[in-house]
Amino acid sequence: MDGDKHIPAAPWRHWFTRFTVRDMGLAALVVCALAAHALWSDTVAWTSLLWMAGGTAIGVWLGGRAAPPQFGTSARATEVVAQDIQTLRQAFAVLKQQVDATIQSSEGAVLSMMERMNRVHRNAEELRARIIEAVRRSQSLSAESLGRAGQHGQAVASLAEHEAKFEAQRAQNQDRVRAVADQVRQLTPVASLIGEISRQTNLLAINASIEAARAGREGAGFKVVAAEVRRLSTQTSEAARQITEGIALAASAIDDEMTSARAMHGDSAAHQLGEIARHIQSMSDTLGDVVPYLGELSTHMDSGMAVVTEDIINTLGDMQFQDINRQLLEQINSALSSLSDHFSQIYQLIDGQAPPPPVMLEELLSRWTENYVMHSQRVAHARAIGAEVPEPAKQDESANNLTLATAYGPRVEFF
Amino acid sequence: MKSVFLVDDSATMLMSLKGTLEISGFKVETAPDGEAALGKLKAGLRPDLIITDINMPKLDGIGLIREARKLLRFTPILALTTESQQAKREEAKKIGATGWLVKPVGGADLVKVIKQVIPGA
Repeated sequence: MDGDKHIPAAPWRHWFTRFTVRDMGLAALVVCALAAHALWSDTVAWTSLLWMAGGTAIGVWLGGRAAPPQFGTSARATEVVAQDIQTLRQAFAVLKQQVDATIQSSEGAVLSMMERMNRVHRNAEELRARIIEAVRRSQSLSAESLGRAGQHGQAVASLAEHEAKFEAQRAQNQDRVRAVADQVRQLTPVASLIGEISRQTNLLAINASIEAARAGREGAGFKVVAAEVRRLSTQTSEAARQITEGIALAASAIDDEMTSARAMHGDSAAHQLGEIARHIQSMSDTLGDVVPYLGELSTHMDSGMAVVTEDIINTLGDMQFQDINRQLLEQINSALSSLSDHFSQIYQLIDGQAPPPPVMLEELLSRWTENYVMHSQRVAHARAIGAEVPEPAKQDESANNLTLATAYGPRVEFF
Repeated sequence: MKSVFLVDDSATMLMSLKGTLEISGFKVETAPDGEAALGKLKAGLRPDLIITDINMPKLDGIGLIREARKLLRFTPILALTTESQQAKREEAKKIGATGWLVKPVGGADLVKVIKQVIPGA
């Protein structure tokens, strides 16, 4: 403030400026009358008047020189200064209220921002913990799935190996069985031949018996031989039948063996496939757990991020307090500047170098209100000078919250 | 993506509002006073919404709304200000402003208001 430079002043000035032109003139008049009476006491009656008149003129002249720029009486100056000093208290009260409003605005916004930032931090920590847990669980599921995949691989490899071995074995067995079956079948004509020989031998034995009977007693030995041949023939026939049946039974047994081998192969494959199916089901169960978990995780992440985003948006909104404070401080700065100018003029008045300021401090205060933009400024001003507080802050007086009084009318209005 | 044109002589306000709106999915253009804003509009800028301060140097918000309305007949224009004089509010309404918001406006509240005035936002 430029006005502060002029504050120190010589004490004699205050004494000197108390005398006006009239005071000086009258003093000179008295001095002249006393001098005339002392010198010409017999004629003082009329000459003293001349002296007094001259003294008055000289007094006026001297008074004019003693207080060169006379812009009013000292009483007027005193009156002006006294009035302004009284109003100055109100001016400071107005400024104090404006500063209080600025402080409240700052504190409210900063506390709000800090609260939001703390909440953002907490939410970020929670999201981080969830992500770490999700990564841990994913790693576990991944390891489990890899393990299951390995088991599947082993099962499939085992199945393939088994299949290959079985196929080789089966081919070998088939060849062997086929060879045995062929060999067995080759025996069938032999059995038939034996049967035919037996039949021919039997006919021969019958013929021999007939011829032995015709030879009489000489043929008795031959008859015994014929009977023995017939018995052998019967036995041979029975043997041939048994061989034929045996071949049939062997062929049937081979067929049964091949069927059984095929069934065994089927059972083994079914077992291996069952194992794989069980593993796949297990994997499916795991995935069944993963899908809702991922859904839940996604929901939590979305809601967490929504809260964080809203807090960041509102924190950015809280930064608007800076614009409000800037305007409040600009007004305070302007008021202080006008105060400085005003008291420079008052100082010049005291110094006798200037007339009283064109605007008294009281009016200056009322002019400050013309520059107010915010309702809170008007409320602060009214409170400071003890005037009626404008709505809506009047309703909120108990809380003394000027920040809330920033708005006049609805905060959001669509036309 | 809807676009918003912000006009304010406070750098803090522009930063605050720009951040809020960009996070919320809007494309944002800014100007530091009414004169610069009018220059951009005359150069062909066609935002979906204009948000302007009222007390600004060079050309104030009332002047900007008056001139902008000649160029953009149907574009919504919101005043966002600390100005509390009812007369200014009435004047803004008379010259074609869409609405009047008193600073400070919470970020989430501002986004709600914008979604109300921009069709399809």
